[in-house]
Amino acid sequence: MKFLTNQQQQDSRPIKLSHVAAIFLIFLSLVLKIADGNAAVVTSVSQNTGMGFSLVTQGASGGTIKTAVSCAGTGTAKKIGTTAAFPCANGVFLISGSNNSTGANRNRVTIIIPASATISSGGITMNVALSLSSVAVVKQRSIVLSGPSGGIGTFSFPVYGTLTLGANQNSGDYNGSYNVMVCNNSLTSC
Amino acid sequence: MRNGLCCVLLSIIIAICSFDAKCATAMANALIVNGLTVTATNQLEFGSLAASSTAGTISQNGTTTGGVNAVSSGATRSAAIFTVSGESSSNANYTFTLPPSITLVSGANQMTATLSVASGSGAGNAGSINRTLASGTDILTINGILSVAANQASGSYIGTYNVEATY
Repeated sequence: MKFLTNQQQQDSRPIKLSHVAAIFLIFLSLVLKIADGNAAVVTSVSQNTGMGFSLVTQGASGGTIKTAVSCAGTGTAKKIGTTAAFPCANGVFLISGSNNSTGANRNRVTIIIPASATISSGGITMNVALSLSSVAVVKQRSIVLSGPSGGIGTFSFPVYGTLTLGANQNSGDYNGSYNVMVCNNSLTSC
Repeated sequence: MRNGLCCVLLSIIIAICSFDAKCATAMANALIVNGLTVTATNQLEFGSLAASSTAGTISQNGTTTGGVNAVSSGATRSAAIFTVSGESSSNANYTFTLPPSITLVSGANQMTATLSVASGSGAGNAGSINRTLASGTDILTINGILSVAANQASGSYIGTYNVEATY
């Protein structure tokens, strides 16, 4: 017979409390997925078109460039042209999902974008305000996938950007990225 | 316990983005370019001329009207030439601003010359002219017509003017 101290008993437990919590969360996720019978199941979201602000000239006082209005500028910021590498374009995404066969929300999903992104060139940055609407700041949107019940549904949506240039913004090729998330409408995380 | 916390956080991230949601990384870009530069590569020159009791004109190529006579000696007549340089990756539009006239001065005496773009977009005009950069460059030739009054005082007349190019 082997006697163990309390500390030895704790150390020898095969499953720690934190592990139990982790397993519980994974289990909870699975339960949520199974219980999600009235919502679409998002299978993919992909970027079809990257957001582009075209070729822009800066000025002494800075300004903005908005993709929603064909990259028209404000202040001393001005679009001077486009190229294949630097188009004026909203970000465009395609959602694909499986429409559940029943329920009012059988093909409803929620899109979430961040409020802003940063694009940079050689350590110099500019801010890009993001929105799901061309006329207002919208960071979350509930939409309905097309397609028949029990089939595959899709939805294409734009992300609008407003680029802010500082006064005498450094010239350069600015690039950046942001994340778009699409999830089932019933998820509380959305 | 720290390892356990990592496991919990990892589980949450997986639950959000793998099981019931999908994420996409999106790209954004912009090319910020500097303003245009304008370089005067040739001056507007009317050369030498002889006035008379009748007013007249002379252009930068020596064409005269009225009582003005072109004199072959002296400076070579020429149009003004400006080179506008900008972004080369796009045939961008821009505005070239040219005053319609300038004043040439010699002491207390003056003459006026009208200016105009010689060719291309805005040919024959002055003021704000819409032009296009071809691979980042546009070359403008500026013609002038100098008005010479009757019995215009002799002298060396000089004038200056400003042009501007903006996207």
